[in-house]
Amino acid sequence: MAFTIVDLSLMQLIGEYLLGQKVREEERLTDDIATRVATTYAGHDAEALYGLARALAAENDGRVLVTDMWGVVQSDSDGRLNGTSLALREIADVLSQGGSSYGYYNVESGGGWFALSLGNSSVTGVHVSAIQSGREQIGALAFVSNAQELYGSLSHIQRQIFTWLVLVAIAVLLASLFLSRAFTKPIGELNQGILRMTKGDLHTRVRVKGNNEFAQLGRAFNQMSAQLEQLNTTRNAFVSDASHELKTPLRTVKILVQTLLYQDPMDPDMARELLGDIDREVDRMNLLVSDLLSLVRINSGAMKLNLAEVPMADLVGDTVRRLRPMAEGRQISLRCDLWDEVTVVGDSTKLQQVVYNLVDNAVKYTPAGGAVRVELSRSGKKAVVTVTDNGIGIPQKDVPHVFERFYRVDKARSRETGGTGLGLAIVKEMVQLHDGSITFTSEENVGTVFTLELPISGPQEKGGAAQ
Amino acid sequence: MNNRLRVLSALLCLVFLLTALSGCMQVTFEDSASGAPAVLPRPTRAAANAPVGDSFARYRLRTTIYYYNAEGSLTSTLRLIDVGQGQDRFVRIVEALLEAPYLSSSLSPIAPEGTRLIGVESSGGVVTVDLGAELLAAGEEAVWKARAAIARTFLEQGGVTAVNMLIEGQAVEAAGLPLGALTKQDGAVSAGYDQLLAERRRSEESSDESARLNRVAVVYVPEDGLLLPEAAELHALAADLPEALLSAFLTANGLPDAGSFSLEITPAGRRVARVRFPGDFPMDPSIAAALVFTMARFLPAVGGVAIDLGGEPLPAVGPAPCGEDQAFAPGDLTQLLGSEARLYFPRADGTLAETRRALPGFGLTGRALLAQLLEGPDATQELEPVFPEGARESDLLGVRVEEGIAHVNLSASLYGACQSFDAARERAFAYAIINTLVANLDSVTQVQFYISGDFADTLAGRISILAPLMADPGLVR
Repeated sequence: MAFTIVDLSLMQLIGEYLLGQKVREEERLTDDIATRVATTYAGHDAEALYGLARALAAENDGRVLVTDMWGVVQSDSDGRLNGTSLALREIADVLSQGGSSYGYYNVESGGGWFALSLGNSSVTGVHVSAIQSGREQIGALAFVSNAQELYGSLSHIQRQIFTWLVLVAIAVLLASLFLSRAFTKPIGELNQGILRMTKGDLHTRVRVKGNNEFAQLGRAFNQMSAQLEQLNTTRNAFVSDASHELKTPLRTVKILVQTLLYQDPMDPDMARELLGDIDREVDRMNLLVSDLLSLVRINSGAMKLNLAEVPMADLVGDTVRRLRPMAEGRQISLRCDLWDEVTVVGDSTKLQQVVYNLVDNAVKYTPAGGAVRVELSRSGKKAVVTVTDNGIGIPQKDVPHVFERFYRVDKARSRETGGTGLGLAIVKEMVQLHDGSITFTSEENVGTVFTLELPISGPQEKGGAAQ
Repeated sequence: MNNRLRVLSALLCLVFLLTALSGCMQVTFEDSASGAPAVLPRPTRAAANAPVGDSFARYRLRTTIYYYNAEGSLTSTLRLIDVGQGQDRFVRIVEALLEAPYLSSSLSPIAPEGTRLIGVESSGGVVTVDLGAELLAAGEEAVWKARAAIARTFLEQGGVTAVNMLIEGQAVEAAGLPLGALTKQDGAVSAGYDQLLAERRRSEESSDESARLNRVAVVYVPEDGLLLPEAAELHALAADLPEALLSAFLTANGLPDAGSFSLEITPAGRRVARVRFPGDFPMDPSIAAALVFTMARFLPAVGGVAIDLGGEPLPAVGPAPCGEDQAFAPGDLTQLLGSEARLYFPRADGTLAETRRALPGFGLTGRALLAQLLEGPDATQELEPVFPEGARESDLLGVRVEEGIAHVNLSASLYGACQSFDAARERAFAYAIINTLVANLDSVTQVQFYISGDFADTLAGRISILAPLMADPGLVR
């Protein structure tokens, strides 16, 4: 469309320019010829007028006709139209209004009924000027020129423009195809990657070249794909671990139930003991499922924090008081030092669970006669809770995995104490929800120190994470 | 991928189609021929005043006349000369030459007061002016100057190629040498006379090439029983001029060069030129008459020409008998003089051919010319008649020449007969008449046609006759 408009516009401009030039030139020429024949025509010297008309026609490569004031040809350089009424619009205009006029005729299309053709030319121009004798108009002079050359030139130019435009159009088309491919290929690859991913191939990555927006999109896609893959792997591991964790108590329950069912006779005390074991296993599974659900809710962002100002001294003190009976039962000294009155913005229940898990672990993993110390202090804009024990400590090889789900340093002790292996994982998630941090140092057979830091101002508002 | 290729192919086709459409749109000129023909203005005038019979309205001739100024040099003046009905313009020009120019007292007439104009003949571009003996009495130099002025004046008229001056019908001489006709006169008159004197001296002192004289003689050629003048150049010693003249005459008439010449003085004291031919010479009356005029109008003071054929003098030339001295005088044969009319007849292809035909007398009339066209071309010529079959002289209702326009009134029956003309025939009919009248009638430059006394739009649908038409030289081949 654009090429068509350009072609038409160019042709229009060039045609108007060339035609306008020709018109002006021939107008001047016609006026000049009219002046030159005026005296001879006024004298009605037919021989001289004819000779002059022929000379002027030859000189200017055209045809000269002289008409009287009624449009009748009195002299024709071609000698064909004498005595004929030249009923042309241009003649009529000049005879009635003077001045000059012009028009173009396509002789082949039927304009030749007055035999105004010029040689083999099919397009002829007719310029007419008034013949003046003094101030009186005595006739009209028509100069017939060959416009075929102009017509031919314009047609030639048009063909040239057309040819070049076609070539340019092809070149532009090819270039645009090439460019569009450069744009669509990465999108296509991305699309293929997404399709593969929807079919379950989380290993899929796209090729990234350069630093443009498509490359950035590719990198983001690859990042997302890696995270999804990681999450999938973690989920699988999580499901696998969860299944495994649940399978163990279920197996135990199965054995206990089968013993109850098939052992005959069953000692009532034995039966009661077995039922008690089943009851404990059920409690463990309950706890495990509860912990799993907690983790899932945290990870999915469904867990909402009920933020409020929480006096940490009260929280820590209450938690220690609740665990003191268990500690005393184990012959472990439990001490609580509240150095600072510090209030944090947080979820009281979740924070209580965090502190409870830390102190509970310390008590569980300290042998009898040992000591556990819980301290609360303020450090800048943070509340710091430390739980120190002189228990069995954590071996170096286990340090990186302590906060992993289902990871147990001492599996036997953990089972014995009813742990699900999710406690510290939940602690870490809850602490992170509060924008806090949990770290520890430990030495095997010496003891462990867990340090909990919470911002006093509470967690920064995240979408859906806090109320 | 296939979809993409289809889309790309469709786009490519669309681009080509659009570009091709723009490329195929031809450059067009707004064709002015579309629509109805333009309406041209029509002459508005009173009722037609078509001629009935023949007339030649008086008119004022604007022409250049040469007079002598106080220094004796020829000076041109522009004069408006009234030419009355039926008057010949050449006669009026000579009359103006002989009159005292009223414009300026420093200019003088070309001849002494009282010099008569005997006659003016104009035919075939040759003008012969015959003045009275009063000019002779003024002396040789006066004759020389008068001749120069007449020649200069006439040679500037359209169609005049030679001017011959006679006095009382006889050729003039100066410095004892025949002067002949003039075909150009552009030098100083006095210098020309000095040259004439030098010529005489040379002719007396020598007979070599340097003494040869250049003269132009008017030789007469018979055509259809009439005598038409032609200019012929002579180059000979003074004493041989008569023989040279005879030779030129015979050549112009296609006759064998078998004559001899002698000059005699008759007992009555008349100078007679005697020309002798062998007995088998193809002499006829018109040739004899032509010879008489040729010799008498070149050789000075020759009163008559005697012709011997095989030793026997011709007793008569046509109806004119010879005189006592066996000589014939040009004055007895003037009825044989004619003027040449240029007539145009069509060819089969519609172009016009010019033919020349001798007509008696001088001062052709429009009717006489149209009558010649009505007569048709000579049978020997492969030309077509102008008028349609059945046209008669009564169809030429009238011709009047007025203010440069020949008004031609044709009958309705002739007009009706013209309606069957095709374009070429119609054009040939109109322009045969127009070209003939313009070529032969003084001062006529255009022709206005009437049909039975009224105006008509066209002759036969194509040639407009609403207004006067000029001649068409382009149609003549």
